[in-house]
Amino acid sequence: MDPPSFRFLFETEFSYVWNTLRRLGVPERDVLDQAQEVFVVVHGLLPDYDASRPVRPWLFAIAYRVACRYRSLSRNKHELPSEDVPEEIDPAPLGDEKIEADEARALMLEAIEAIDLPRRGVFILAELEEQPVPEVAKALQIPLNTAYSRLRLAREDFEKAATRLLARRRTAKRAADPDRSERQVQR
Amino acid sequence: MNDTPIPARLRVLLEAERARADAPDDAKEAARAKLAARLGPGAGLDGADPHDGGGTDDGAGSATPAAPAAPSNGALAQAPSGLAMKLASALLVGGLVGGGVVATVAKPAERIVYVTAPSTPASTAAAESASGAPRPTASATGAAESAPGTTVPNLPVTALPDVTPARPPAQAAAASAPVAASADGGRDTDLSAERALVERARSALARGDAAGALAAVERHEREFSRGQLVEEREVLAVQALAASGRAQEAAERGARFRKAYPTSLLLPLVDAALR
Repeated sequence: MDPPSFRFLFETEFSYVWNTLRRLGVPERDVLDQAQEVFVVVHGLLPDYDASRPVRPWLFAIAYRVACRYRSLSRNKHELPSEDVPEEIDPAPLGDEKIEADEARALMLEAIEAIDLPRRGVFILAELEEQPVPEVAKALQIPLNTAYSRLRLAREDFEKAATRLLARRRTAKRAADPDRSERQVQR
Repeated sequence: MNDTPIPARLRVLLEAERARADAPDDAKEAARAKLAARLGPGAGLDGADPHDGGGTDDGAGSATPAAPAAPSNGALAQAPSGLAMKLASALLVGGLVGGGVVATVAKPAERIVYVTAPSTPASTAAAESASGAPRPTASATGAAESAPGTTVPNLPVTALPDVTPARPPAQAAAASAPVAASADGGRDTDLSAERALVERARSALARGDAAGALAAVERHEREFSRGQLVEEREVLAVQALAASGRAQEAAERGARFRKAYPTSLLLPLVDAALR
């Protein structure tokens, strides 16, 4: 099978690369530049691409390296939401809260950021993109067992972070809208 | 994934993220323009906007659909030479002058400079054999050997709008040397001479001429021992050594590369060559 043309990949997968970089923690203002870096590497590697494999995990692996490199430049390091400030987590269920899609996405990015780095790629591919784990392992060039265990640990990281973030949000909402919570209490 | 243990209350986040919108169109177009400038015509992005009915002649018209079918330099190189020549000249001339206005003299020149990478023997041949059109650095022999009057530095840096902003200072470190240096007008001559050598090596490799590639690599080593494209040259050196069956040397050079550029984005190319 012939590999797809570079142009075809650019046309069809630019958005995928863009969103992947966002998920990998590249801030909005730098995504354009980093997306270009990804495609420069894609261009170089395309002859080696095995067209019998799905293209997205392959692109993801490239974007992952580019994002890691981007982040390793000190000027691009930004404070991550730190785990070392343990907040009191209100264990009440969060299910009935309405959350806007944009806000949910912002929280999602923050939660992803809290996943330990080697696990993050596995999580995004397997959980978010629903790629089969064997495919993920191949794309990231790690043993299958490693992929499974990273995924398990990543889910734990994610769950912890997302729960914390949602609790923080709720606390902030209550502080911003005391009337409402009072009403709720009275009711 | 049915067996996901992610609790339902958190899945709303996953769902929202999956529905993230596409990249903005203007960002995509900006990326397209910059990549076309950086990667040259081999990338098939140049003048290839299907909505841009800018093709002025048959050459450009046929080049546009054909270009995407050429994912790598190698593919173009293997095309029958007549077609390849037509393609290459269409890309270099027809495709670039696409707008069809002679007043855009600076534009084709600008493109050609950064497209210095006619990276295929065919396009090189086309560049050398085509008559009439001025061809500053398109020849793989490069600025170092071309007539002084046709070299790049005559171009004002302002004629390179696409390229300069592609490299905000913040990105310079992350970027490969070639374009980063283009913001520095004074070094354009060296850079294009360097680039021509690197491209010569690359196109030799693409047509299976490992010895030719090594010769260009060695010449680059002699003339630009501290050049701006050393990283790229070293990758080509590993590839050329591997392609000529000198596995041991390729592995050693690859190891040196890894040591010198541990975070290189080109490492996968080295790995692939050594496999």
